Amino acid sequence: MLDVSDIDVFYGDLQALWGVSLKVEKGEIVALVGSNGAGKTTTLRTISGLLHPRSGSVHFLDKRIDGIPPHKIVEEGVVQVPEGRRLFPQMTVKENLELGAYTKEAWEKRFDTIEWVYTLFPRLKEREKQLAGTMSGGERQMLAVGRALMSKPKLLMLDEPSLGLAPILVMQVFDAVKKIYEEGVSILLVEQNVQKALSIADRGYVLENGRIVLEDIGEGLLNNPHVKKAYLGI
Amino acid sequence: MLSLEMVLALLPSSIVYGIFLGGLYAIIAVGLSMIFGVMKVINLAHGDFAMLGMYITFWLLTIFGVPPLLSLPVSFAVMFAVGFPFMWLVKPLFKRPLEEMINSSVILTYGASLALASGAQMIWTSNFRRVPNPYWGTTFSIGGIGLDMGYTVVFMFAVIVYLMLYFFLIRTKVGKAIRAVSQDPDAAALMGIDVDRMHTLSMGIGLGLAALGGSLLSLVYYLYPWVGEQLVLLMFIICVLGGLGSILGVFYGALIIGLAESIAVIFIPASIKDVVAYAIFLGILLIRPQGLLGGKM
Amino acid sequence: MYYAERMRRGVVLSAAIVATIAVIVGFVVGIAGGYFWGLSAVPAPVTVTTTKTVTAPGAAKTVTATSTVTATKTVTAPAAAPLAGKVIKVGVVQPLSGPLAYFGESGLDGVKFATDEINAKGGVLGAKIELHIEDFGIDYKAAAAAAEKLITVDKVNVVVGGFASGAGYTIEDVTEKYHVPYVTIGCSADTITARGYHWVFRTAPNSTEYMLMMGHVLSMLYPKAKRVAILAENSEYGQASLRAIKKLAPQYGWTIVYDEPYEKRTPDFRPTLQKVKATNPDLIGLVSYLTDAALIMKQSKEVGINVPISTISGAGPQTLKFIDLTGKGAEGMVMASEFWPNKKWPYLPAVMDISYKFWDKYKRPIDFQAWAGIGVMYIIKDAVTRAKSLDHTDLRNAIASTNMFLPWMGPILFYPNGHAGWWKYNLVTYQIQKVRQVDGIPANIPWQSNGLSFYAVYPPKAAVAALTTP
Repeated sequence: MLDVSDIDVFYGDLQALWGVSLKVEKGEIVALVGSNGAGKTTTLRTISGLLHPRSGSVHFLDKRIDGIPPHKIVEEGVVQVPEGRRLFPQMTVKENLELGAYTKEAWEKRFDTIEWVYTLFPRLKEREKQLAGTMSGGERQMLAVGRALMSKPKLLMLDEPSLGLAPILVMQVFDAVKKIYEEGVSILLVEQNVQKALSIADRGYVLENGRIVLEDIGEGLLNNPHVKKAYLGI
Repeated sequence: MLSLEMVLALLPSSIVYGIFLGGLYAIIAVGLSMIFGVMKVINLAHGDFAMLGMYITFWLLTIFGVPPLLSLPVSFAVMFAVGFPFMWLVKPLFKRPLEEMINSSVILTYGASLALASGAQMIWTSNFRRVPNPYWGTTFSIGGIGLDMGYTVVFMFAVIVYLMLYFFLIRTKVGKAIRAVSQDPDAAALMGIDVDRMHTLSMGIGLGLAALGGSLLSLVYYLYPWVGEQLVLLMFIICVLGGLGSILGVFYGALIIGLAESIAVIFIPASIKDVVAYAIFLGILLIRPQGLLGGKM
Repeated sequence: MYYAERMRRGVVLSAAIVATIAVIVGFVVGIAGGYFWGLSAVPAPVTVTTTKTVTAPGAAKTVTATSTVTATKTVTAPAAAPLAGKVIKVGVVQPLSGPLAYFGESGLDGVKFATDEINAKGGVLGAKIELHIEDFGIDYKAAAAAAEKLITVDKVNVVVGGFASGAGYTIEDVTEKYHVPYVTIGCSADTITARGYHWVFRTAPNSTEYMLMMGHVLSMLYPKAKRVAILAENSEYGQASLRAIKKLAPQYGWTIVYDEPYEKRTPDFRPTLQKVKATNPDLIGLVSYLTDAALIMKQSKEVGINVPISTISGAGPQTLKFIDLTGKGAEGMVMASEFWPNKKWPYLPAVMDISYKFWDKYKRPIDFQAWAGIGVMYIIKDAVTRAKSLDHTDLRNAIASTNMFLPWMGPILFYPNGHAGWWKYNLVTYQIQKVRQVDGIPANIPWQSNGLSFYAVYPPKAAVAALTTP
């Protein structure tokens, strides 16, 4: 479904990714783990079209998507929940959700989709009229995910969804991710919470200093001595 | 110093004049705020686009005999179209870091301002002109307050256009997208919003509103090529006062400045009434550095 | 960030370069536009027959009417061309952009008109006049910089221009420093020639002289006026005039009930006018330029002022544009001015002749600025003719001893402080009246608008119409 192949990405003259390749198949949860600054966010931003690789390619459903602008990539069905939520703080919950359904196809179905999102996150329906900027961290994360779902994505990319959340909320978020996955959306999950991420993922990649160093099924990585030592502190 | 009695006698009409003036200021300034809100471009040529709007009204009337109020949509449309090439001029700036971009935009648009004013002087000469219209100098009186038809019509249209703009931004899909871009362009792009298109659109609307404001201004004021220079500082103060980027804030800012100018004159010589406006401006910024409604569009 | 990433270093255009291109494009478009605009303006053929050789009738004894005659003779006698092949460099500093451009251009057109005339007749003693033109917008410091550049870089022989008294100040500082003669166009503040400077010569009346004239005329027109409100703009011109008015008011039995300065170019004067109205004046005097005066006239009706309003000092609004902008409501207003075509002093046919010639060339009347532009060039021509030198000091001394007579203007001479003696000779009060045939002035004069024009009403030697109470 998603095929990232051998991409090099630069910030100015600074190389951030070195020959990164990864795949997400239909109906998979794939985790991309690594420490701070390893290049996880850069990878997602490149897939989303906010950054462009200097070499290598990104294909989605056999269509090349590197080099096309971000809003076109959303139309293809790849949606990212950016790190730090990045909501529109001066707009209501409902307006945020509506903007999630901005693409032409999604806009027509937005009333149905919003009901679906409300069943996933009943909390959002209660807060419909509230300004996004005034909500709590957990609610904001729900909204960010809900907003992304509004576009009816084929592939949802989550960037650090548990960052800055209390453990109980982290649980909720991962539950939600599972639910979405069960609805038939493929997921690429970027997390610092390696344990959690790998335990729900079908497959995982470990990114270090801009390079993919390990690739295995979720369980396999959890048992990998290097992962254990470097990320799980065991 | 006037007696209390006198002050009370002058106050009601001063307030009405102040509100009317505020409405006019608001409609001219709102585009500037919008362009900054969406693109973080400080458009020093904004007053000159208003000047072009005045000349569009003038030309339509003197060459084709189009009544001044009918020229409002024309000047909006023409300057909306000019927004596209102007955007092309501004676009290279977006490749720069934000702060550098804001500074560069000042230099760039100042150059554009000089070019527009000089060009206008060559086309229309330095002559002062007037747009003859039936409202000019027609007066009526309500409750002892002498009102000018011109200012009344201008105020009415300013309010109508303002409401339309507000409705557009709050209710329509594109309006929401524009607000989204102004709040977080990257996140907007991730929602499938074409940020470049929203930029161009806001530039067009911003310049269109400047021209429309100019067309309205031409009903009550003289036009000459350098009138933009005269307007832009005031616009800027209003926008910063209301919170740069905030549409509603501009309206409040304009009302405050209009009222301050009108009422201050009762107590102090008219030559220092601007000082009052600046003092209020500084006072509000000391308390709220982001402006009245800073950060809200 | 998104945009930062898209940056390609080295390809980024400098904003300044783009701005420069924008300016150039603007100018090209402007020039093209101006060209086509110019094509459509076909000059209307106007013919006026006047006698060319003029000896001023009734000229004051103290005045020699020889200068014009001498000048014509030197052209026909090439032997008397000691400056042949030389160039008289005249630096012109005027506001040619910004809100004062309308006046600045009028003065400049005057300068060009006279220069063309003089050069067409072979120049001065064989030397052609060359103009070096600088624009200062509304920035008076830029006026000083322009004068400095003209003197040090262009090496001009004489500097002319200014218009605004504020600019006159900064320019005279420079010309005084470099010892270069400076002849003003406009600049009426008394103080311009009251600073003990030796290199400045003013061709405009000063504030006191305007006031003496207007006080006299207004007390004839409104003999019952006692309470007078003055609306003066907040500028050197406005405030100098205000001082003169306050000094002379008792002489006419006036009490000044309002004298607060106002800010120039405000779109809304109504709050101010309300306050003026509250002081219950019998007469309102304006010290304003064009648009402010026109707007005050209009808005005074809105706040219900129905006492007479008149310009009281200076000729700021004395242009055709004022009637254009004010419309019919302008009828009856009086203002003192150095020049407007409809006057018979000193010699009506000469006045008409030059007025029509100027109109044909520039499609504008000779107003108080255009006259000064023409005047300064004839003063310079006269001075060079007498000095037979282009040396700064020789020129300065020659200008100081100017004693000439222009048949369309009157006598021109300077007081020791550099101020021309205007009040005595050439200042005329005009009233805006309906256009009609009067003695020697046809009803189809081009310098009219809305069926109105300015007509000289005082003093009698210049008057072509009677002063009428509006």
